Amino acid sequence: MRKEHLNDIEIQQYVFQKEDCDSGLISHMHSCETCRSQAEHYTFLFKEFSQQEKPVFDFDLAGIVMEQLPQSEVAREKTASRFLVFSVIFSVSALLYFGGNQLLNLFTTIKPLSIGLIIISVLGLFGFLSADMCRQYRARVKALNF
Amino acid sequence: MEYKVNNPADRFLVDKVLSGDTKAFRSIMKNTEGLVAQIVFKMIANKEDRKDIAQDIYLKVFQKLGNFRFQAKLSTWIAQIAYHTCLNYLEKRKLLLPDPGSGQSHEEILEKLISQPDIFNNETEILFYKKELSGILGTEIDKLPPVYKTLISLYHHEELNYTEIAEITQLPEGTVKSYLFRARKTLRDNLLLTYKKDAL
Repeated sequence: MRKEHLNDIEIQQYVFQKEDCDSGLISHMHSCETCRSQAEHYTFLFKEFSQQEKPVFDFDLAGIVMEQLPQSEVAREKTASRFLVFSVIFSVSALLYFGGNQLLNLFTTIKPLSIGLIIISVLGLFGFLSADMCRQYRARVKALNF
Repeated sequence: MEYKVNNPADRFLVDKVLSGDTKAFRSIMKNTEGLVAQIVFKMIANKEDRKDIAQDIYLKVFQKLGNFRFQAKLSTWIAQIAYHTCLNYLEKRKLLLPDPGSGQSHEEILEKLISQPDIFNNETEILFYKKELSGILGTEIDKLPPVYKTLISLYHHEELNYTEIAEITQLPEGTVKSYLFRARKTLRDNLLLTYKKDAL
């Protein structure tokens, strides 16, 4: 066991990192009232400190910062999508209302081969757009993963 | 303290912000505002400056989010930005660590006080000390240099470990430990000095 008193670093180490202390230091602490008293000061002081209230901003930081950020691209995309859907519904409704009979005649008179070609073209276009979306998504995830 | 560097929630939020959903940034702010407040309050004394600096920190975070590589926790990375933004502010005003040559007479007084066999020599004194301590503690913490205050708060209030504090401050772990030892000692010594002055 050590005879001389512990220095301040050792006392703090005993209080805050007891697991790193050697046995000589610990046994000295058990037997020395002066060092133990100093250690108790630290224990008590920082127990009190950890119980103090945490500081908080007294203003709406998130609100202020959000106002300064560029408008959300997703929000813009949502607005554009809503406009697009509304336009499509409106156009289709108008077309059906004013030219429904002519449209029916168009499908009965058109050749099945032409209908097949149209469907294949639409599916091809859809496939190409989906593949492009997937590629963009993978590129973003790759950038995140580094 | 054990922590997951690749927190899935952090990754999800960062991914959302990077894909253009700026509203997800509000969640990131909500999750980290406490830690940022702790750093800003300890480093910056002026209330108005705190407001500007806090905004500046999160605008920087937003701008740099694309560079975040998940090599640390998101909160640690944001705290790092907060700490260095405050540090730059203090550097402009030369308000960092105390001048080592200025505390000689103070040290001498302390040594005399600390060398007394028992400062709190009866239970009444201890009770009085405990009651007063909470109030005095706040005042004494405010008197510490900003970097010391921040390190003490991150360790004892936010319960971060040395590694995390070293990441935030970008100081070697040994330096963080050494600063913390000095900060605790300064705080304790100042408290004892104040207590003794009040008791006289």
